[in-house]
Order: sequence, then structure tokens, then C-alpha cells
Amino acid sequence: MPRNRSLYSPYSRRLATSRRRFLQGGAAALAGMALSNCRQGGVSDVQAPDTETGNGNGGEGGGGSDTLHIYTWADYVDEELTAAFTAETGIQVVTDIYDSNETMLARLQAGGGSAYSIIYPSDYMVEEMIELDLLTTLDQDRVEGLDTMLDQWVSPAYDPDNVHSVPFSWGTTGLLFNRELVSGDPEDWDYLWDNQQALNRRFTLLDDVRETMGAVLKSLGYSYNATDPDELEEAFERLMELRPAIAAFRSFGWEDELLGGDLDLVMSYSVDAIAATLEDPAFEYVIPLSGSSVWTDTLVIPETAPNVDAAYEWINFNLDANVAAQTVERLFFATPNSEALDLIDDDLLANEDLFPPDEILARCEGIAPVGPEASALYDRYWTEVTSA
Amino acid sequence: MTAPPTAAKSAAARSAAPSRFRLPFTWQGVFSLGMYGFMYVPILVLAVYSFNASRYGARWEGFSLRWYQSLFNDRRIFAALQDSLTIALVAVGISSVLGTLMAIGLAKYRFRGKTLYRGVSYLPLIIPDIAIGVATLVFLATAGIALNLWTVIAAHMVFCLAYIAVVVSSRLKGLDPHLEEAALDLGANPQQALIKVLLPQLLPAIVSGGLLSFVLSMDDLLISSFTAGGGVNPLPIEIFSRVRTGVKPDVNALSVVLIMASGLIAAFSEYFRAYSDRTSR
Repeated sequence: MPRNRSLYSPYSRRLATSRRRFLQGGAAALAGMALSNCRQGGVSDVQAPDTETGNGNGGEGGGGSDTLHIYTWADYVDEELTAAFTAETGIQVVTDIYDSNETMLARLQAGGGSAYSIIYPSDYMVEEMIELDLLTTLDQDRVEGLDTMLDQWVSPAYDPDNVHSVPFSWGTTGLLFNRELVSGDPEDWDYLWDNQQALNRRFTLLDDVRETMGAVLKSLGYSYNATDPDELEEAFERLMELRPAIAAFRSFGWEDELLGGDLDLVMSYSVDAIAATLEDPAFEYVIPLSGSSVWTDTLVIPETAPNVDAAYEWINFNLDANVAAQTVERLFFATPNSEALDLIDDDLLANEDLFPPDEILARCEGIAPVGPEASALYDRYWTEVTSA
Repeated sequence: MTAPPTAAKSAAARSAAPSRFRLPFTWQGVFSLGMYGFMYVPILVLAVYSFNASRYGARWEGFSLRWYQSLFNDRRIFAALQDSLTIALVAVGISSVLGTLMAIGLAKYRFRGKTLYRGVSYLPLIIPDIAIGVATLVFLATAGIALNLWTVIAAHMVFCLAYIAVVVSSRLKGLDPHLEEAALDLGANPQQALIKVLLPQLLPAIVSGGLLSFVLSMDDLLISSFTAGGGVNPLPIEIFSRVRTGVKPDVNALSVVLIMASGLIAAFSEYFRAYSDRTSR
């Protein structure tokens, strides 16, 4: 999911970044102490799952406990599905929720995540957690159904071959526009440059360096994750061409202006855009033809998981096509499970905003880290663009 | 006999000059109105928009109970509310007893390290929430204590205790110490003097300290994020976690329900207070 949806500053990336840095820095400092204490000490005691629900009912390995603790997003919790899981496996599910990937990581690093056998990090966080050695390597023999993944998720950039994570849900970035105010058919990123005059100061782009620079790179035929300085410079210059016409860089909070008619078009995450299209049929969402970015939320098993057996059960349960289809219908997000797509209600499947056609999806890319050098270059260009 | 006429004249002049431009209100009145407006109009707007058929604030698409319906069908929100209320009530309840006793002890007794103790007990007021949260978590993890409802309550008590102790202390300073001494002189034992003389005088401070920390506890996101576990998900975490897919106006509806509920509680308590005042007289 979008990387910087910070609660303190939906409108300001600067603050969001600093809060994230603070969380990471602060937690890391304290975590050093915590980890040195509890790695040797009683990691298994810490936050051991409630055992009153029946310890040692275990035919399954040494885990024994019948409770599975999950750390997830509020949107992903569905009581009927957890009840179905309990009925099928006899494992009780206890869910805790977090409000940002950064909070989740900070808590894990401070030693407060050892009750959890399943966590739902987003793509870029999976990568970060792998680097920090927080995730177990999945035993591929015990995961059933990874072969049903759509092409995009067979070997995603954030975790090649899904060694540590199982894709759970995804979404895209694209253009949301007001049909009554926009002339022609926005189909691709080029539309912005072609109609620069008509759209003057009436559209916004995402306030996210990788999303916006990536879109420009894509419109030039390059990758979202380009690292070549020449390509980046070309993209920077193309973005500067457009700069005078851009009303603002904004990831959230454009809703009122768009609905009020003060904006014609916004670049937005699919979840926000779909909500707007459902609200008013005048709004339309397109995923640009040359491709855009996809984000993914995943299922992972942390290193410290106390109940690995139950975690695999949960992963396999969620990979089941029927369950995945029901989840989509109830929670309203896209699944990477190709078999589930056949089971989903046609009306829902016909929503191209939620499930873009394969040929468009094939051109979309996940945003992956580009290394420190390119990253610095991205930041430099971005600072120039946003301060111009 | 020269003074009265001039005084009368100047007084007349003073009252005459503004009377020509007299407005129906004073600047103090306008200022107060402005300030109260600033505080309460947003709540009013929120209440009105909770009845909006549209999901967005930009337009009014007619009266609808749609968000209230979705709110009352949302079991998770109520479970979260229940968690939040339990945490706040228990934390405030324990803290008001301990905090009051702490304030009385600090005011009455001399002991070694008292200044240090006082300084440390007020520290949570200035330490950032995130530091309290992470430090508590690190401590709990090191001590091998599983996170659950009680760990959040304990973490919330850290700041509740400080707020209540501060408010009660300041009230204690303004009290007449002779009243309690008089009670002791007149044959009350120390417990009776505490319960019948001191506590009734401290009650307003205990209640206001309790309310203050109750609100802070209901509001707290960071400390809860780090210390809640075992399926306890307080309301702020639930709401902020949903921000990802857009907060819907059912949160407005929830706010209205909460404001109405607290308004009702306040009204009832006022009524009972007035009633008991009248009967005791």
C-alpha cells in the first residue's frame, strides 16, 4: 500500500518522512538493547501466546499452541473468514492491528512482535525486513497454491521467487479525472503533456518522489526503477516542462477540490480513486497504457514466530481460491490469485479499476529500491522540482 | 463644592460619547464568541456532515442515516471502543486513587529523596509519548511479560498518574491545613479526617484530573501502538489503520455518538449535583 500514509501529516510528506525516520532511528537505538537482551534471553517467553485456550493439543510439531497471533491492517480483518479458519483448523485467531508499516517495524525491532506468527507488510517493507533478517525463509513445500499467482507476482521485485513472503493484495496508481471537465480521453501519461494548456493548474500529481518520477520515466519508455543518470535527467527535464501547469503535489486530501470541480484530474492510488468513482459516475480512473506502479501487501512469517505451523495453515487458507475470492468480495481489494479471479462475482470482476486488463497490468511495475546513488539523484531532482 | 459637578460632567461626557456609537455587544463578547465558535463550529460541521449522503465533505447530497447504519453494523469499531473505554476507565480509576494519595503524601510528609521523587513523578508530562511507548515495550520484552490489556493499562497509568497528581497537588496547596487539624482536634482519627474533611475538598481536583487523563488515554495512539497486544485494539489504532483505504463518514457518526454520550453524562452529573446540593441544604 502507498508508502507514506502517515497519520500525522496526510498532506505533508516532509513530516511523514521525519516521523518515519524518527520511529526507525528511535526504535533502532532502543531495539539494540532490547534485542541483545532478549535474543539470548526469553524470546520464546516474551509475549507467548495465550495458552489458556489449550496448550499441547498438538498433533502438529512442537508449536503446540492453538492460538495464532496476527499483526495486520484493520482493513484486512474479517470476522467471518477468521471464524471459518477456526472451524476448519481448530486454531483460534487473535488479531492486533497497526497503523503504518513503520510502526510495525519499530515495534518488532523493540522486541514487541514475538507473539506474532503472521504479519502483513507492504512490498517495500518486506525488502527492508529481509535485509534486517526479520523474516523466515518460507518452506516452499509447505506453501500450497503459490503457483496460482498472476504473472506479476510469480517473482516480485521486492522478494524474488516469493522466498520470504506470499502476495496477498495489490493495487495500482493512475489518473482519476472528471469526465465533464476533461476533454478527450486520458489514456496515458502523455495526456498531461499534450493537454498542458487546458489542464493548466487544474491537476495534481502524487507527492511521492518514486511514484511521480517513475510515472515520467514510464512515459519516456523507461522503468519505474531506472538508475541510469541520463534517463533520470531526461525524466527530470520532462517533469520540469510540466511543472508550471501542476497545481500541487498531493497524495491525499484532493477529494474535496476534485469533487467541487476545482481540479480536473489527479494522479492517485487506486483505492482512493475507486472510492471516488463509486461516489459519482462522472469520475473515471485509468491506469495509463504505458503502465504504472503496483503496490503489494504480503503475508510473512517473522523470525520469532512462536507458532509456525499455524502460520502455514493461515497462509494456505488464504491462498485457497475460494477463500481468496470471498476475501475480495467482502474486503474489496484485488487479489493476486488467478484461480480466485474465476470465482469472483462478474460485476466485481468487471470493475477494471480494481482488476485492470492483463495487458495493462503486465506493463506495470513494483517500486523497488534503487540503491543509494540513484536514490540521492532521485531526491535531488525531486527537491528541484518541488521547490521550483 | 467644585468637585462633584466636574465629576458628574466627566462621567456624563464619558457615557455620552460612546452612547452615540453604542453597539449591542462589547469587544469582549465578540472575542469570546469568536473563540467559542472556533472551538465548537468544527464539531457542529462534523455533526451535520455525519448525515450527508455523500462520502465527501465537498458537497451535500441530502440527508441520510447511511453512515449511522454502517457504524452500527460495524462490530469492530465497537469492540475497539470497548477496548479503549476499558483501558481508559481502569487506568484512570487506579491512577486517581494512587495519584491522590501520592499528592497528599508529597504535601504532608518529609522523607529522604522527596524532591527527586517529586521530579520523577512529574516526568511523564514532558517525556514524548513515543519514548514512553518504546521504553515500556523494551522493558516488558526484557522482563518477558506478554503484551495484553493490562500492559496497555499500566502504560497509560504512567501518564494518568502524573496528570492527576499534578492537578491534586495544586489544589492541595490552596487548601486550609487548619481544617484537617481541627477535625483531628475534635476527635476524628486520621482516616476519618482524610475521608470526611480532606477528600471532599479535593474531589473537584480529582475529578478534573481524572477527566483530563481519561481524554488523553482515549486519544492515545503511540503508547498503545507499542504496548497493546493479545487482540486488544484501541479505537485510535483502529481508525488510523483504516485511513489507508479512506476514513468514511461513519467515523463522523461515531464522533457524534460519543459527543452525545459524554454530553448526556455531563448533563446527568450536573443534575445530580444540583439535586444533592438542594437536598443537603
